[in-house]
Order: sequence, then C-alpha cells, then structure tokens
Amino acid sequence: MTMRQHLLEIDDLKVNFKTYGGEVQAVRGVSFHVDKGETVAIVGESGCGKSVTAQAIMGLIPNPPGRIVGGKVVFEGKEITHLPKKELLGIRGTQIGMVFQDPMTALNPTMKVGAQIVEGFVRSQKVTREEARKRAIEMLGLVGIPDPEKRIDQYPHQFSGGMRQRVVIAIALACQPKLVIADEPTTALDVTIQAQILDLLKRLQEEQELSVVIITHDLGVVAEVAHRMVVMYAGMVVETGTVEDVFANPRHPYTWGLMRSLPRLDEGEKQRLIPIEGSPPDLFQPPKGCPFAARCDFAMEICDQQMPVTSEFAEGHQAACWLHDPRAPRIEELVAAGRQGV
Amino acid sequence: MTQALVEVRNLKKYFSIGQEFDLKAVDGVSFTINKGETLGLVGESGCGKSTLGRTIIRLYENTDGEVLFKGKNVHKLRGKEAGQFNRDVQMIFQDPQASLNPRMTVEDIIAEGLDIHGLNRGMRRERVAELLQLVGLHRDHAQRFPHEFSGGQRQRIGIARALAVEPEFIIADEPISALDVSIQAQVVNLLEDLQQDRGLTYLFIAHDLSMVKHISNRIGVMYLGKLVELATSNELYARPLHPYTQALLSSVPVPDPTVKRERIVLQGDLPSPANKPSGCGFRTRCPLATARCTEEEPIWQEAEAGHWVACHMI
Repeated sequence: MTMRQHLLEIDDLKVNFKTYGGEVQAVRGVSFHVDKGETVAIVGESGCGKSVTAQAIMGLIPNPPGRIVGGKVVFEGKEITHLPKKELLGIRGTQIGMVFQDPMTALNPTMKVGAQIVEGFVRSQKVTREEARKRAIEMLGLVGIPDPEKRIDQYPHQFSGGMRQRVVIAIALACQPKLVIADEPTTALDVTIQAQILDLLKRLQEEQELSVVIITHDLGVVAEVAHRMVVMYAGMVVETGTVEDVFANPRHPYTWGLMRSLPRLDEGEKQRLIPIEGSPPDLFQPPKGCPFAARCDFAMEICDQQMPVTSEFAEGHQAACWLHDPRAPRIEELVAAGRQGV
Repeated sequence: MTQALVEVRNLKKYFSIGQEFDLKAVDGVSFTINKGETLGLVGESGCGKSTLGRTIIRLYENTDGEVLFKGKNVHKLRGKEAGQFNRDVQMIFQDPQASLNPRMTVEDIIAEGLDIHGLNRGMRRERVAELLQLVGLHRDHAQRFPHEFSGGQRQRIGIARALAVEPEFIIADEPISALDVSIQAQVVNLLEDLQQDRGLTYLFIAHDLSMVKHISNRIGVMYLGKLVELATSNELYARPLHPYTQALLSSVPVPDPTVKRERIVLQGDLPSPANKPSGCGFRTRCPLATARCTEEEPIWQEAEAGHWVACHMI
C-alpha cells in the first residue's frame, strides 16, 4: 500500500437506461481517477453522460430504469459500485458530498436550512441538539453567509439563488467529506454570482484539502477552477489531461473544435465563429466506431469501423483518436489540405 | 450618416404586484438602434432586459415613454399600420421547445405568419421550402413535428418562422442560451449570414457576454431596469466606465488557464426591482459608492462620443 492510491477510481463504467424506445447506452466505458486535494472537471455537452457518471459514483442511478451494466467505482481502495443501501449511506453524504445544479430543487422548501445542513451530520454521528446547531452556524459562516445565527432558522425561499447554492455547499461539507461532486454548480446562477461561488469552491478546496469533481459544459469554468479535465462525448472519454496541457495542446478533434467554436471576450477584430457542424449521435444505436467521426473534419475510413485506441502524450494526457496512430496521416497535413480546399 | 430605425425614449414598464409599490421592470431607458446594426443587451436575470425587448415589440403595453419605429410611435399604431409593424418586427425566443406549438407541423408553424398577413399567394409550400433551406434545414422537414428535431434545429425553425414575413428588425431574446456550445456557433453564424444578406437589424438580448460581444456592434448594459452603460463592443470591453460593467466583464470565466486576471467579485445580490434602493440602483453592491449615490440618481450622459454612462464617479 505504499504505492500512491487514487482517492476515487472509475474503471470502464457502463450505464444503460431502459426507455420505451429501447435501451440507451448513456455511459459507455468511462475511466478516470481523482487524487487527494485535486479538482477534476468533467466537460461535455448535454447527453454526453457526464451527470450520469456522477450519479453512478454516488449510487444515485434510479433503478429501474437505469442500471450499471459494467465497470466499477473504487473509493479509497474499496469498491462501492453495487453497495447495499445501508452501507452506501456510510459513504454518500458523509465521505462524498454532492452539490446539485439547481439549489431550489435541491433544498427542502418546508425545512429550515439549519436542520437541512446538519441532517446528515446528526444521522452519522451521535450529537446533541446544541452541538448540531453550533455546527450548522459554523458551516453557514464557512460558506460566507452573513449573520448565520439568524439565517439558520430561515427557510430556503428567504434566500437568494446564490445564497441557496451556498447552503447546498454547506450541506455537502457538513460531514467533512473527502470528495465533493458538484454537478453544474453555477449554471443556474448569474455571472457575478457565479464568480462568488467559484471563488468559494476554490477557497474551500484549498483550505480543507478537498477533492472536487466539477461537472460543467463551460470551458471558462474549467480553466478557472480545475487541475485536470476529462472531456466526454457520447458516453465516452475522448480526452483527459491537466488543464494546462489540454488547453495548450488539445489532441482530440472534438476538444479542439469546442475550443475553436467559443467567442472570446478578448478577441480583437471580429472573426467568424467556427462551429462543429452536425449534432451528437443517437445513443440508442451508437456508431460502431468513433462517436465523433460523423462530425469530424479529419475522419478516415477506420474511424467509422473501429473504436479508436487511446494514445498517451504528456504524463496523464490521453486522447482516443485514430489520428494519433503511427500509420495515420499527420493532422498538420490534413489541416493544410483542408485550408486549400476551402 | 447612420439612420435610426428604432428610437426608445425614456421607456418605462411597471407591473402592478398588488402592493404599495409597482415592480419597475424597465424604468426610464433611452437609446437608438441604427438600421443594419446589432445592438446587444446584457444584464443579469431580473434586470429587465427581456421586458424591455417585449415592450419594444409591443407584447407589453408601455407605462410611460415611447418607442419610435421608423419615426412612428409603436404603442399608438392602429389598424393597417399596426399590422405592418407586426410584419416588420419579429421575435426569436429563448426556448425553442416552448415557443413552437408541438401539435403543428413545421410547415404550419413557419407559414402561420404568411397566412395571417395574406402573403402566401398560393405559393405556401414553396415559400416554406425556401425558408427551410435558408436556415440550413431540408424541405422534407416541413411535414414533421417539433419533437422530431434537436434543440439547434428547433431554433432554426424559430428563425425561419421569424423570417417568413420578411421583417426588417428582429428581437432575439437569449436565442442561444438553451443550446450546447458546439451548436451555439452554428446558430450565431446563421444569424450573421442572414443579417448580411437581408440587411436585418437585431436587438440581441443575452447574458453570455462573450457571445454578445462577438455578435454586436454596440452593447447596452442593464441593471435594475435601467441602462447603466452603452458603447461600441470594442470600446465597452477595452474601457468600461461603469463599476458594474467592470465587475461584470471581470466575472466572465476565460477559457484559457494561462490567463490570470484580477477579478472584481461583487458582494451581495441584485436588489428586488419591487423595492429599489434610493439614488443609484447599483450603490448597494458598488465598491465606489459614496453618500451622493444614496441621495441622487446619476444622469444618463454621453461621457465621450458614443459612450453613454450613468454614474456619479465619471
């Protein structure tokens, strides 16, 4: 056990959902890991499986219709993929906290926020009422809510959107978890409030040596808070690496396309945006080969036929793309040829 | 000399909420939109930007002030003139799912305006096919229903519907917010192409500052029902004068990990538009606020040529 052990390891995770239209393969073999004290961002578009991955880690896949059909989730060296509910409660909410997208639906409107914050804390460790109350006030103060002694006895509707999200973060942190999973924590918020919440998450992560998995579709948020990133497309990981590596040198055409399609606030002369044409594949019948092939400017024959193998570049920087096969034509030549064609 | 297509003068829209105070959603806003330009309107939720758009197009009656379209007071138009206005000005909505009737075929959705204004001239099907192709869809799509399309495609249908009656001015209220990043660029490019080909004028309402900056010639920033700053996009980005604009711009996360910026994090939240602070609306969150900001409302003035701002500190 002297080997460095990952705090969280996801290995070849597969999740399906049964629907009237057939079985959707929402997550199709996802692997990544999270170490102690780091922030990992999962990025992708709607329907790429990023939220389902998070739910699978937390044991929150509704069954039926959902089912983990393969792979495993390992937390602190222990497999938690198919843990019975009772054992899962010892981990969910206490060792792993969760922050949801919409703070209004995540909170119980009929319960005072103080009681909601310490709900898990009271259940997992025997504490007196006074201790629980003290803890709730402490947590509200920690997430930057002014006047916590008064606010603790208020209901969620008495809080603004940003303040509610702080309450949700306080709930996630109340049991001092080792890992927090935040699913689009700022998407429902305005930019100036988003800046407050991102600052808070960053500060807490550093102070408490937390590990954070942040799920987002916003590459700006990724660049701002994450150490490493996992890019997902159509239920698969297409690229992963440190944020610096991936932004400086995206190795998958999808990642590259996403970055190119964004307008930048600091763009000087107005340039035409470069979209990724088409839309993601149907996961009822996912393509046999690379899921991005149909939208990829550089697709080759093999891309439609076979799943690409993963190539490694810098340490931990990997991409699943046939272009990195030694037999493939070099992408620079393709780009040059493409430019001539236009 | 550029020509003003739309002129908004001290426009106000209050909603009665059954209390002593009205909710002042739009509270005295003045600006012009020139022919062929794109004016971006940004602000946080609840700042009144959508209400402003809807009052301009007359989905809401105004409380006070006026909107002139080609020199005519929009809220006083009656009969034929009102009908012409409804043709000249069209709207694209945020949620393509909610703004398309799920029980109508795409053809009926797009042709509804043609029918109302008596423009189909027996060429209904051809016109719809033309419009579908114009927005990057296929003519075979005409007989399908909205649920058969993806979000980006639905937004294209919404755009085709707006274009059907050959408008001059389009109000786009958060037209890309509900779309995925890789699809947003497709729709923005389409809007830009249409503008070039048809000389359209846009009022582009959004909260995504980088996209607004990309598409707009000029940008207006709203806070609590008022415009606080208005300038060309490059000027506004390079030299924001109002402290709110400065904070807003610095809050946008930049998709580049090598850029480390000094961020102005505003304290607190947007006050309720039903119970506004006295004086300057922004003073409760403003890092520069003084006693004067509490007592006196700043006036909307042209600080430099074409750069308007409402702040005592200027």
